[in-house]
Amino acid sequence: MIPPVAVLVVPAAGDRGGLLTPGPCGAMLPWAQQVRVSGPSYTGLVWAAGSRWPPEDPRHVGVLPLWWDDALVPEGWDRARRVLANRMRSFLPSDWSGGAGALLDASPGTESILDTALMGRLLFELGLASGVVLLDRVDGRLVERVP
Amino acid sequence: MSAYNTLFGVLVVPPEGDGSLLLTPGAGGSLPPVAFGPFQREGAFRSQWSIGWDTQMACEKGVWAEGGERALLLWWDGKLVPEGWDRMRRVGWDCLLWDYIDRWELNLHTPSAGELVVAAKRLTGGPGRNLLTGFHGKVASRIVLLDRVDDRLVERAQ
Repeated sequence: MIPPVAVLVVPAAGDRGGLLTPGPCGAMLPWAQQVRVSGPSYTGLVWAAGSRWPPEDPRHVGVLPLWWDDALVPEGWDRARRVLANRMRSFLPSDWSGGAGALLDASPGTESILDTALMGRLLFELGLASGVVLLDRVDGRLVERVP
Repeated sequence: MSAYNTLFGVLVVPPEGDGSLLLTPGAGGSLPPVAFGPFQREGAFRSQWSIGWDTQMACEKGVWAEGGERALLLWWDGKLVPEGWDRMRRVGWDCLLWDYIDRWELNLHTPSAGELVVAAKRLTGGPGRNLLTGFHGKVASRIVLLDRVDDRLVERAQ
């Protein structure tokens, strides 16, 4: 199977885990959104990386990228790791399942695309995310992979 | 009691050019937490540090006459700045500044101010080397420790 070029986490309703909450002291998170494009070869929705949070158009729902353009998004991963760590505080280490401990203890620079997909899955199972979006590049566009 | 327990802020100042990318914006619109050091404002010396990227924009637009230092925020108002710590641990890792013994500290989620200072000193120590970017040099030029005295932020002598 060809790996996706991007892994995005959709926050749960209300984002109670704080996946997309801006940080203190001017820290801004990475984000991505769907935008509508129209052109001679394609008209429809495409995924695009965000610029400055929050989106100018409030109808655009932001998602947290963990992997983008075949590379880790460190700031996205680090936020997801913190949200997961906060959630796991109420669990004993022996309760950690699905590799949560390995993800929390991963050293910087060692995270793989599989780790990001697993991270997204864990956040989803814990109710902190409403979904995980995998993107493929098709004809130069980023399109959502259909399961 | 640790001498760092009462700190208001801990900042790391990158050297000229920021070759190790301590303060470089990330993908997808992400920005690390930033502070600006003492500088002239309308002729008056401003001893407070200001935080946030809006300050940088104000500097670039000439609102303030003379820019000061830029620094990565690790600790502010007596609390951890998670995004600053995450950026520093990554830069330290990328520049091969952490050794095996550091790994436990490296993976701390909520280090204390003292632990942050110890880690930051590693950045101001020996030169770092990033094999991916080709960077070789000093990762940070100095650490700034701030105390609040009479509602002003003053730099602690080290």
